[in-house]
Amino acid sequence: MKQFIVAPAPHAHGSDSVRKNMLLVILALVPAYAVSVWQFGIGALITAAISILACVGTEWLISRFVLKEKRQTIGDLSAVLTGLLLAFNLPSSIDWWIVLIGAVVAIGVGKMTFGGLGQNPFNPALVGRVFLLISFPAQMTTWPVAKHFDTSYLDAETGATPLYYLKHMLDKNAPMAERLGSVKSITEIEWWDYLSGAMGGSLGEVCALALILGGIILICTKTITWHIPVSIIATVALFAACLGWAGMVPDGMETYQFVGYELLTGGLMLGAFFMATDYVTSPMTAWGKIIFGIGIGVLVMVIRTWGAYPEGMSFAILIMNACVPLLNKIRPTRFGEKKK
Amino acid sequence: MNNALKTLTNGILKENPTFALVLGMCPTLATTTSAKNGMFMGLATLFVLVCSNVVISMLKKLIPDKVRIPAFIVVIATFVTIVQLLLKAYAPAVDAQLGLFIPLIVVNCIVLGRAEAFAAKNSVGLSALDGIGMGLGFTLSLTVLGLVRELLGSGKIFGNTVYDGSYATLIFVLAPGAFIALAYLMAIVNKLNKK
Amino acid sequence: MEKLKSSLPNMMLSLVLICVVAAGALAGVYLLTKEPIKQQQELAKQNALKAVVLPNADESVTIKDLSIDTIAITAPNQQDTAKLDTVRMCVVHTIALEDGTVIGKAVETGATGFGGEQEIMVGFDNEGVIINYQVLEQQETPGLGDHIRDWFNDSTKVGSYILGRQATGQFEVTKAKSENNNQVEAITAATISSKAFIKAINNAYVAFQKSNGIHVEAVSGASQLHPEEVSEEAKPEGEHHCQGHCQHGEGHQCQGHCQHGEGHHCQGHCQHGAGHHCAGHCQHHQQETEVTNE
Repeated sequence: MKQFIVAPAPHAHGSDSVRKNMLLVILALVPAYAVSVWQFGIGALITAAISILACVGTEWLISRFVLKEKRQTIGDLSAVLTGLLLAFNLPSSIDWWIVLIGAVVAIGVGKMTFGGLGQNPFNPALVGRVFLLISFPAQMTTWPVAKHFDTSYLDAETGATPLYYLKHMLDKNAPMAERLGSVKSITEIEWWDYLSGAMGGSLGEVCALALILGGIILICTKTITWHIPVSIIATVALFAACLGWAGMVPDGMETYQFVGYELLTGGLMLGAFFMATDYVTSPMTAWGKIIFGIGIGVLVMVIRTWGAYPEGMSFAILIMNACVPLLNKIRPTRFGEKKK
Repeated sequence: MNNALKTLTNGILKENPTFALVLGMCPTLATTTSAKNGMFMGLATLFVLVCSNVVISMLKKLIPDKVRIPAFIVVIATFVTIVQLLLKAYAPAVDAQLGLFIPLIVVNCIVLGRAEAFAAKNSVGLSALDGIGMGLGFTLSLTVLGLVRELLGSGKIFGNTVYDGSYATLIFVLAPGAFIALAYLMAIVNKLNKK
Repeated sequence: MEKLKSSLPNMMLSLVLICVVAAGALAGVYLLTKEPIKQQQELAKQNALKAVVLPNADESVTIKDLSIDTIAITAPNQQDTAKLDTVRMCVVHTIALEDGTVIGKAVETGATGFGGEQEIMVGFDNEGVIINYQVLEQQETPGLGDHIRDWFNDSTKVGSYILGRQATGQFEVTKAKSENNNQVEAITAATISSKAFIKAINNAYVAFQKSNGIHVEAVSGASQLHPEEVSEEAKPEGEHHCQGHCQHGEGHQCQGHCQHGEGHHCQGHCQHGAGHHCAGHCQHHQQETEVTNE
């Protein structure tokens, strides 16, 4: 705080603060985390613990010894949130040292290098996650099979995710027999399993129901606005429907089913409600947010269908993060200005 | 004498082409996947820098102002082609590793930049020293960047395994990691220069 | 001396002079390095072939590329059998030592991988056992598919190690443990790249055998889901009368793969050197080698 603004009384005190908002988001994530611990067991506990501790620790260390700040910033809980979100994006059975590297990079490179909270152009948790995805591709694409209260950690049984099958199913170069096999693998899983998270995937992305619940909590408490999540989901649904009508989906799966699968698998729900809506890295204007959401939706589907990786949410959000300064120029309103 | 020493050491830290002047980024990012590649790239550029600086400085009175760019480019391109032919004949392994980045030295901003900014206006001796200084600075920065990327990204130093490659952070031998490593090295050098 | 003014004659003179001197210098260096460059290119070619056929030989051993055949391998299009078959060209180099003994064949093969085309050179000995391979070009994902360079020739990876295996053209990729000679374990998390690689190896073996005059059925390299998708032409019709790699149609008494042109009484593709009473190049039945000399 370098500028003191002096104004006469009366003043109205808003009880908003960074810490309060972070706490609300963390609380909204608790249902999804609880389901995750139930589905993935010990791995979920360990990964989240290491991630959060490492993020907070890195911020503390850099704040104290590199930036030489007088007041510690870890109290605003943003590092805790980054740690939790990073853990949500990793397979629960991943090695502890990879989590550590991811956390250090997320906070160190993604946030502190730019000057701390509020200065970073990219979502720190996603920076960490994408860093890990490119650096350790084999470990980052090995997913544990969901087993209730799993006590195995590093030697968990592994399997493919529904997203992998979705991508394989759309692959025109693959033999039709294999594509139909993928269709079978996807439709085998019950709808309830998709909603409740009994499928392969990252720690926090599997339980769509809990995530939607958390998202609704955030919208109701006015922590986030509806614009970004709704535009992301609508765009993805429309795109998937178009793919279905264009005949890209082989026999055995209806278009509406395909739309459903695309919405419920992968990091879509997690990304739409919790990662794309990060205050620092998303647009401030309403139209900016909508365009942001549409952009993410289009990019996610393009990467999932034609790109090299089965999951496109992290890349889509990061790319749109880069466009945010441009989007902020769309119909900006000054603070306090009456809407015309 | 003082002037000569200053010219020589200028390019190594204070006006390091990679970290301070931010010139020649293309080969910097592309050839530093290993320390050895970075070093050879730097040395090839050093040779071209010195030769072209000397020749251009010798000819500076004979090149009319309006045709200086084409004249410089012809001189530089000649030396680059000579380097490439020599490498192909006597060190084909290096040539294979560096591939098309050898001919790209022609458009390396450092070479044309120093030719225009220094060699066209100074004596032959000083131009030679400037070429050596800039070339050494470039080689040094490429080698250091290559070392960092190779160590973090594949667990080796100059081809020798230091730790198991399966624990290595692969991103550093790829493009994104090149930018990240370059960024932090640049920050460190700029901090040192400020002192 | 003042700098030359930028007048047209000055500019032209200056540039012409510089270009002439530059051209002269370049010509000189070119002539100087012409021989060494040619030698290096020869050596590079030698080394590429040696790497796959004689990997442990030292520098002094030289090999000859006796003949180069380009062979087309047709793989049935797996989406729709009515469409055109995709044709893959394989180049077979017959490799011999200095004294003429054939030690094997190096085959340039390829496949469409995950990120793009894979180009591979694989060396077989005379029996079709894989000696070594080299990936010439690939565009797979780093850390995942690009392991095709060093995964299948790593002796510590027992299920995936293909060096020393008898090639059959029927290799397939499995994610589980490999149970027999034909099963190769895939690269972790990179099944598609592995399948493409093995398909290229299978195609290479088919080309290898075709160049020997033998027809082999190949498998696409995918795991066996639907056996009926195996190539139609592979089904043998009962008793096999060896006709070699014969292109002359029915009624022709095949004497083997003759390269001597019209008017030559073909005695078969003889590898036993001068003075040998050639009895034809047939690998299927002992009796058939009794093709008489004229």
